[in-house]
Amino acid sequence: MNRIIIGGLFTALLLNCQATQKMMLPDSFVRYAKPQKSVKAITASGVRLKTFRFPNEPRGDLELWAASVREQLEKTGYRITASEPVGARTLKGILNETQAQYQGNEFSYLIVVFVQEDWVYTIEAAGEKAVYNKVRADILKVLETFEVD
Amino acid sequence: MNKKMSFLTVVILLLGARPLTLSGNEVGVIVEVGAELRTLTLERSQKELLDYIEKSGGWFVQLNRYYLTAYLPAKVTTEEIAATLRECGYLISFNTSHENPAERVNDLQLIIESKSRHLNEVRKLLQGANLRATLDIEMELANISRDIENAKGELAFLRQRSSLKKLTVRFTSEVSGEDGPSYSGFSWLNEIGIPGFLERFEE
Repeated sequence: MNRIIIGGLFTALLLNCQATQKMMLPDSFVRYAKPQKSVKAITASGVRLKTFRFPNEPRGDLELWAASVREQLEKTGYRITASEPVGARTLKGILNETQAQYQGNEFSYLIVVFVQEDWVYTIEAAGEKAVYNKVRADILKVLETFEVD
Repeated sequence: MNKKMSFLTVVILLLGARPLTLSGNEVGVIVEVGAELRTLTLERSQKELLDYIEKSGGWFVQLNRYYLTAYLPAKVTTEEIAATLRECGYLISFNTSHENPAERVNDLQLIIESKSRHLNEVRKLLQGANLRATLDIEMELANISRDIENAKGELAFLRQRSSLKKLTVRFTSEVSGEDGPSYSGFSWLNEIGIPGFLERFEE
């Protein structure tokens, strides 16, 4: 019984020690205080940006997950407007930028995929096309500052 | 006698197998193209398709948020249409149907020829006919003329249809966070996209 409790505590401790995702945000974005392990930010005009991580299961490399993301977006009807590699501090990623109509408005949606061993990291951003375009350059710049501690 | 019969049979068969022409205008195969396109930029995709149709020398007959029906010149290949649709969105399905109107065209040509001969024969009866007979003959002439015009009309329709490709595109353009036909086997992939992102952003 004690072993089970100790095992559970150890697992909880490991989960709590998940890697922290970091980015240097420009002034146009305001960072949320929570969550602390990922980056979540928004602009005054409502363009949202957040980082996520997912288990790399089944295990795949960057090309596989980037191609899967692209295929999923295309199948869902998103129009891919850019698809290119990006270099962050220590990671290499692949960016897919799309456009879609959402709730009657034209939206832009960006997703960058990074793979680091057991985890797949994504940076996603979305907003109405007109306001997204105003901060697009800022978004592309901050992608380069992404890192995982 | 048998040789003569065989010769006649061959001649009749050859005549029956003559090319499908009337006044030198060939009637080709009628092609229809059906496609289902998923796009989340519906207005833009439809505009691009309309531009392509116009540029190719075609025109649209129906357009709404669900369907586009258009006619394109027959010379436009199905491969070209498929490639254009792929540029406008995700091509869920693409199919073509071919209808060969050869038999019907042959029938119509025979109808026109035989009815025309009949018309000439009946006209001859007008000479020397009394008033009552003349009225009957006029009525018969009108019936035959109508049959000829109908056959010519159908032939013209087939000729026009075979010079065009009918294109019907069904659009799927709803953004939905629900599991759809594009549901991926990897759970996190189903969460990407605008609705999923906005939901996860709030977490």
